[in-house]
Amino acid sequence: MEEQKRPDSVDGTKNQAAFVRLLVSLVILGAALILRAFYPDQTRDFLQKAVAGGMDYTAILGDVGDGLRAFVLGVPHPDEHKEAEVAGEEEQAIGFEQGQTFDPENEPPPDGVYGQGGFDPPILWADARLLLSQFDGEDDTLPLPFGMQKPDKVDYTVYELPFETVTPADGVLTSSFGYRIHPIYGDWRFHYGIDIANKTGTPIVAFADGTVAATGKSDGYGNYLIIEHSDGYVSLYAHCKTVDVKAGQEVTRGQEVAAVGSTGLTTGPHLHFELRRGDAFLNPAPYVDV
Amino acid sequence: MTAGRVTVCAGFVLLVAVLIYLDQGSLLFVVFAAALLHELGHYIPLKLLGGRVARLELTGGGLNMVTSQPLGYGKEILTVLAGPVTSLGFALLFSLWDGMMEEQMPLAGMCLSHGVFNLLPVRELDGGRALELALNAAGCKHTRTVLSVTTAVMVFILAALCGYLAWKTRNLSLALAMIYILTRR
Repeated sequence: MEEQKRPDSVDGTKNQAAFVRLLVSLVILGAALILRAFYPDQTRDFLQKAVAGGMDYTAILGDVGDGLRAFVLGVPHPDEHKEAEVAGEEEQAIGFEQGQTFDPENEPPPDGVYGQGGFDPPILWADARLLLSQFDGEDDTLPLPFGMQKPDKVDYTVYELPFETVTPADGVLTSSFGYRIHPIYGDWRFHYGIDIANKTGTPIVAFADGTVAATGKSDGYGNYLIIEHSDGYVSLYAHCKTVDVKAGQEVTRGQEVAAVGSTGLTTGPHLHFELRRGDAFLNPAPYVDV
Repeated sequence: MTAGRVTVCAGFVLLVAVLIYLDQGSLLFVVFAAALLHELGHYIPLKLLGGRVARLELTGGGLNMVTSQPLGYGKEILTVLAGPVTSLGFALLFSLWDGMMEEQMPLAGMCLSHGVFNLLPVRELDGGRALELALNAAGCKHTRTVLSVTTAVMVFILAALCGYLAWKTRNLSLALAMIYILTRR
């Protein structure tokens, strides 16, 4: 909002200069549209890496929105629900070193219910620290407010995957990657995957070509399976009603491997989907369409 | 370029180009929806209070409504502050009302950022404009000086913050945005 400053008749040369500037900008806009239409991946990856360091602005804005919601509704004190210890021996059985991947406590059920109680400002700071630490490469020195778990290695970079992928299940995204209030335990925990909610029995398909590394059942994850893809990428599917493949079996992208259920620690039927690159957890959201 | 009462600046076209380029899905929608709601927050009270929009400018900094015929300090402060207040209101609405739409959380974040940013006492922003009007209404003789100082202080803080973040995250986007905002006029 501002008051009218310029007279209606702007002087000629000024007008011409503005017109030329506008024309140049329109050409750039046209170029952006054409490049995006014909070389969507290469051009965007280049610019994203150069300017944005691979940051997903929509996700960051979404986190701000989540923070506002938590702030207004209030969240429970982080120390309240410490007693629940459900993790078991499944960690070894599954065959991955990083135990926390399979810690059922970190796996929230689908509906992102926020608890009652006082707001805990350190979470915003912790989230910001976590984002910054992505670029520092000093995850180990990350100071977190007491009462909060330090997450395993997470990586917010959006990689160009070296294989074709499909969305593992149709449905509604009910829980995103990142810190959130655990709907059962009620405290702030890092959610290492995304939740896609749909009716029990909805087919779950392989995210990409690969080999089934493990199938099993745990208190937290319920019936789950893990698929290893090329180049160190691994995907995990949890809370399945049934798992239709066996360890060691080759699967192709889009092949039905399981069905959505609510086994394990859930409050309703959904697929909990994790994606890892080496030992780092990736945000699966950019690679799926829900 | 001007068509009727709408002026399109080169910066606006550039902004759209950059956003189209960086968009990973719904960023463009989120940014423009937030900007539109903010301007509606200005426009509706302006209309109700008997003001008139002389021109709508689409600039690199967003949408600008240029009003004709002053309304008087009180009413003008109201219409100026109505924009950020509307942004904050919609931020609350989007963040709290479940199941509205897929992009509601990013939209809530954008509205919140937009509203808070616009309340800063910087001359170009709603906060600065409201401060200017309030000081003038109170008969202050040093309005320009006060605004210059608050603007300089805020810009210095923002620049320092952006520089720090750019250095810390190796992410130039905030710093570039800052340079862009500083040089757009």
